[in-house]
Amino acid sequence: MDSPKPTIGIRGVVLLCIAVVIFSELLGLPILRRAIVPAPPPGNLVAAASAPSLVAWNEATIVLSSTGNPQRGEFISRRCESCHGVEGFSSQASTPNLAGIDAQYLWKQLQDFRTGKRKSVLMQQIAGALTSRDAADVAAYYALLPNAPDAQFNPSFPQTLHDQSAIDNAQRLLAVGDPKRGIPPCQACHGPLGYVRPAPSLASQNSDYVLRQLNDFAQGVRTNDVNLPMRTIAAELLPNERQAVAEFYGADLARFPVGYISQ
Amino acid sequence: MRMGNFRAYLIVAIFSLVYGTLRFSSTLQAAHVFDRRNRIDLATLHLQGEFIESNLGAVRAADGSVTIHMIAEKYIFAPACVTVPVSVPIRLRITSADSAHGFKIAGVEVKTLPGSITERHLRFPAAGKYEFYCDEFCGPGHHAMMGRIVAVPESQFQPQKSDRGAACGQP
Repeated sequence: MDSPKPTIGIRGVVLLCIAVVIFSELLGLPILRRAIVPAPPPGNLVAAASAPSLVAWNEATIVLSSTGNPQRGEFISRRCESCHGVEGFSSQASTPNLAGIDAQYLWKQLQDFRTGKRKSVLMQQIAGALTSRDAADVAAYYALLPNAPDAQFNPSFPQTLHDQSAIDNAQRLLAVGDPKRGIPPCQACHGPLGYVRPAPSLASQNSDYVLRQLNDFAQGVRTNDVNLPMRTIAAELLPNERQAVAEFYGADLARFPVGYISQ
Repeated sequence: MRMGNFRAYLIVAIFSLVYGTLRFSSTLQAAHVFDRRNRIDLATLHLQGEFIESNLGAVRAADGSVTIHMIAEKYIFAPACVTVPVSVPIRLRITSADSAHGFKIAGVEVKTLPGSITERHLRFPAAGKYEFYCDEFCGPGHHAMMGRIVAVPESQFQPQKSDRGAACGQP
């Protein structure tokens, strides 16, 4: 009995490939897959009360928060002026400067104040009176203001450095962070080297305000940073490092990327 | 005519080979490209699903298995410090909140993609601190993106009792 020479041929290869596809598809079927891989934990957990923020960055919120009307926002900003200053530079160092801060960040903070995810009795009432469109408009207005302080009108910014030795400490943290402790450089998210939504620009922010926010993040008082970035980093910073970073920002030394000009 | 047939066969063969390989490897927990059950909406990570804040870190299930839920984001891991029991199979479920990141620990490489959950099984043979870091360049803070897993004896293990910072409480 002479059998023909066994050859696979191109048709055989194709059939083999199709067989692989069918076999793989069968493996992907849930009923068979469950036998190989244990089932994932239930994905129906919902965190409304304990969520850090109710803002979700989907298409609607990104469009809304970045297309505010600054002219309309200027009218709304009249009720912010007494604390945050006419030009977005506050007269008290414990109140944040808003000039030149990213509109998406400001919009998210106003939503968080309104929903009580960021705690402030005063701001909760003010933000509660704004619709999300109002918040987008006023955020667009403050984002347009120049973040360069005018010495004639901004007497409380920049603040004087209390401790010259803090500069070295702060420059190190802004430029390279502390990789061994998992602290990324501040300027990678807060500018001017890079920005990560929705981190605010800190280039001309008041030192007392920055320090209080860092302490609040570290102690878990402020919890509206989605997915824990600032609570992780601020808890890792030592008290003198928080002080040094805050003073560095308050002294208006972070307008340009640190480590690229001075060193 | 014969040549046309041959080309058609070739295209089908290449397609099915590539597709089959991806599908096969994704089933064996390597790529997770195709599996719809590993998709997650990254805009609502903090609002619903298994990556809500209260579920991050190591959790022990009723059958004794330990699962770590972790988010990689610019430029930290959340949580950055996780405590696990020693020499117990541990299931790591990790996702990304923004761009592609890596998770490299003791020679094991895990890739994370936004909108997709990657799963990997780990086991820590001895007690101690294991550093993990991002090995996929993700931006100007990439070099500092790291965290630690502390393997402790079974008796000392407390689920989700993790220190917040990446240095695990020791400067």
